[in-house]
Parts: sequence; C-alpha cells; structure tokens
Amino acid sequence: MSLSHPDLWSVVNKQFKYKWMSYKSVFQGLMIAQIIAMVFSLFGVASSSMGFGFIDLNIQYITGDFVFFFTCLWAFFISVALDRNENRLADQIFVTNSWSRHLANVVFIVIANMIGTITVVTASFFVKMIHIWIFGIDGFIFFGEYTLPGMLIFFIITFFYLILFSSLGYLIGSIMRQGKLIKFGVVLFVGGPLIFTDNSYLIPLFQFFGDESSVIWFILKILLTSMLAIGLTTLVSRRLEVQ
Amino acid sequence: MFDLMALLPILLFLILVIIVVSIVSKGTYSPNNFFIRRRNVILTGYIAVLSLVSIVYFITVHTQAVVENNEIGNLDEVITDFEEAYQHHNLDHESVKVMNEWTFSSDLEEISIEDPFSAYQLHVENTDQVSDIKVTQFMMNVDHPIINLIPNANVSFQEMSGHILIEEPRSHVEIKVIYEEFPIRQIKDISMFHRDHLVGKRGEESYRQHILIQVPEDVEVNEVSY
Repeated sequence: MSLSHPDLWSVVNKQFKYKWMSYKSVFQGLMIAQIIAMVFSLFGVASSSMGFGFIDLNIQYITGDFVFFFTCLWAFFISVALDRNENRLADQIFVTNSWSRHLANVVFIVIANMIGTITVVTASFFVKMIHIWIFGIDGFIFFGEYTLPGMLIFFIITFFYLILFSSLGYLIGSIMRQGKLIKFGVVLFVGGPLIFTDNSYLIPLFQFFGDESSVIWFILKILLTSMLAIGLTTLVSRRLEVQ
Repeated sequence: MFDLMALLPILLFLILVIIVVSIVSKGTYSPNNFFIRRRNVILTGYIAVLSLVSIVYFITVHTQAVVENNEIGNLDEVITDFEEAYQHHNLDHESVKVMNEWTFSSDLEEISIEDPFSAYQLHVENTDQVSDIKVTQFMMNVDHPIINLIPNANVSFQEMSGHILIEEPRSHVEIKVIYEEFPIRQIKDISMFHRDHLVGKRGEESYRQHILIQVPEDVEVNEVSY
C-alpha cells in the first residue's frame, strides 16, 4: 500500500517538465524548417502578371507564407513522433497512465506551438527585412498595415493552425503505431493520394478552415477538430496502455 | 557604417546557415555535443535575432505609404467626379491628377493627331483659353504607389506637317509587393492573387490615362486616328 496519492496535475506537470527538457531537439527542427523556408522566400513567395493600359506589371509577392506553411509541417511531424514507442517507454519512469501522458503531450504541443507562433511571426518580418536590405526600400509596395489588432490576429490564427496540424499529426501518429500493417495502410491511403492525385478532395477541408473569416468561428472549428483528434488518439492508444 | 549595414543581412544569414549546417552535420544526439548543451541558448538567440530584425523592420517601414484595400476599393464617388470633370475639361478639379503637360507653338490653321496605338483616351477641345497647342496627360486622382510607375506619354509635334504624334510608351515594370501573411489575409477575406486588392476594384478605370489636346478656336483638328 502506498501512502502517496499523486494527483493527475502534478503527474502531468512532472511529465511535461521531463518532455520539455528531453525533447528540445524539436526546436532544432523548427529552426531548420524555418531557415529553409526563409531561403526559399528570398526568391519571392509567388508572382503574377497583369497589364492595364500600356503597363505590363510583373508582381513578386514577399510574405512569410513559406515560413508559416513550413512551420505547420513542423508542427505536424513533431506531433506524429511525440508519442512514439521510445518516448512512451521513457514515460514509464513516472507514475503515469494514458490520460496523464496524453495531457502532458498536449501541454508540450501547446507550449511548443506558442514558440513556433512567435518564430513564424518574427521570421515573416525577417524575410521582408532581408528583401529590403538587399533591394532597397524604394522598390517595394507595402500592402496592408500591421496594426496591433492585426498582429494579435496573426498570432492567434497562426497558433491555432499549428494546434490543428499538431492534433492531426498526433492522431495519425497514434494510428500508425497500432501495427506495421496499419502504418503501411496510413502511408498508402493518406500519403499515396496526396502524391498521386490532384487533391481536389481536400478542397472542402481547406475551405472549411481556410475560408473562415470570423476569428471566433475559426477558433471554435479548430478547437472542436483538435479535441476530436486528441479524443480519438486517446481511444486509439488505449489498447497500448499496459506495458 | 553604411558598408556594415549593407553587409548585415549577409552576415545574419551566414550565422543562421552556420547554425543549421553545424546542427545537421554533427551528431546531435550526443549529450556532449555543443548544440545539445547549448540548445537553450541557440533557441533564445534565434528568437532574439528574429525579434530584433522585426523591430528594425517596423522602424524602417513605418514612414512608408501603405496600400489598404478599403482605401483603394471605395472609388465610386471619385470616379463620378472625375468623369464629370474631364467631360467639362476641368483639369483643376481635385479628382484629376495631371501627369504631364506639353505646349507647342504653331501658326498652322490645321493640325492632325495620330495615336496609332490607341493607348490613351483622347479629348480634343477648341478653346479661346489657349494661344498655343496644349497637350495634357491626366488621370484620376487616386493615391496609390502604382501611379509612380506610370510612364509619361511620348508626345511630339511636327511643325511642318502639323502632326501631333502620341506614341505608346509601353513599359514592363517589375514590382515587389510586401504582402500580409496567409493568417491575416484569411481573416480579411482577401486573396493574394486577386488583382482588385492590389490595384483597386476598378483598377484599369482608375489608372486609365487621358490626353486632352487644347487648340486655339481658329485651328481645325481635321483628323484623329485611333
């Protein structure tokens, strides 16, 4: 009989601190992903041409979009790997159960994504500043002003997108760990169509999140989807609980 | 000092590249690895560099004119005023922006105008307010950085034949647009590639160039070729 009664939150707190100390490599991944994105952004994120009257305009767009999308990929892949077998075994040094492990993982994802969000926003300005340094400020047209509410929206929307990608990655990672056959199935049925089809079936999914112009509705959609994904992850990984 | 500032972006990038190459090339999982031991410092340094450059960005661009979508989209009133102004050849109206002016002296009683490329909307006026031939290039008075890219017309007058030749100064212009990121565009419900957001809802109409040719009352303008 044990005299100690560890409550859930103290266990989650300990596990989170352990994960925070030992999973710092995810931030090396973040830096690498963002620096690669910044290098790509040096050539412009997109370009388009238009003509009106006698002027042919070739427009090169400079934004931090690559940094944003690369960071979303980072959020996805770190979450896929977060609950892998080695990490789950390492959690056994604590008094733990599936519930506390998932909660600690979620806290880690949230904190990591906060850092990811800060770096997305600042790296976006870094990209623009590099362009201005190289080409001089006179050759640019500045579209849209970064006001304080605008910056707040930038932070919030970016953060929730990272949460969305993380929760989906967390779910897919847990499904893939159900067995080699299932892992093969996930790669085949999720990865295959992504590579070999025109991905038109994903348009409604992208529109569901990407066309939402209300911040409240957007956050609600992300929260519901993420909670659903993490709930499913908890259900899926129940059969792996006993070590 | 200037040279140092010019080298700053290259130096910053070099530092970042060195960090990446070092992380990738060395065994990162060894506890004695520099990048493992110093990873907190590296991450803090990374965020500090990005934050510092972000501050420099805001300091640098805060004096720059910014194009706001709502600013260039609400043009209906200006367009109405402008149409009324140019129909009455009233170029002093606030809705009119004069781009360039030419004055040609001529004793001829008959002149002709050639605009082989039909690049401009031409207006001809016989008026007693001018004693010479006066050519004015004008457009709607909209406040947009694209206006700075619009070239002047190439207008020449051949005194012998009385030909006013308006040539097309077709130009290919490359511009770089510093744009908001996807998360902001989503909430503002704007697409990066939708030209309306860049040049205004009635872009072509807004930037269309007009040429008003004013000649003395006794001069006959006998040919206008479009």
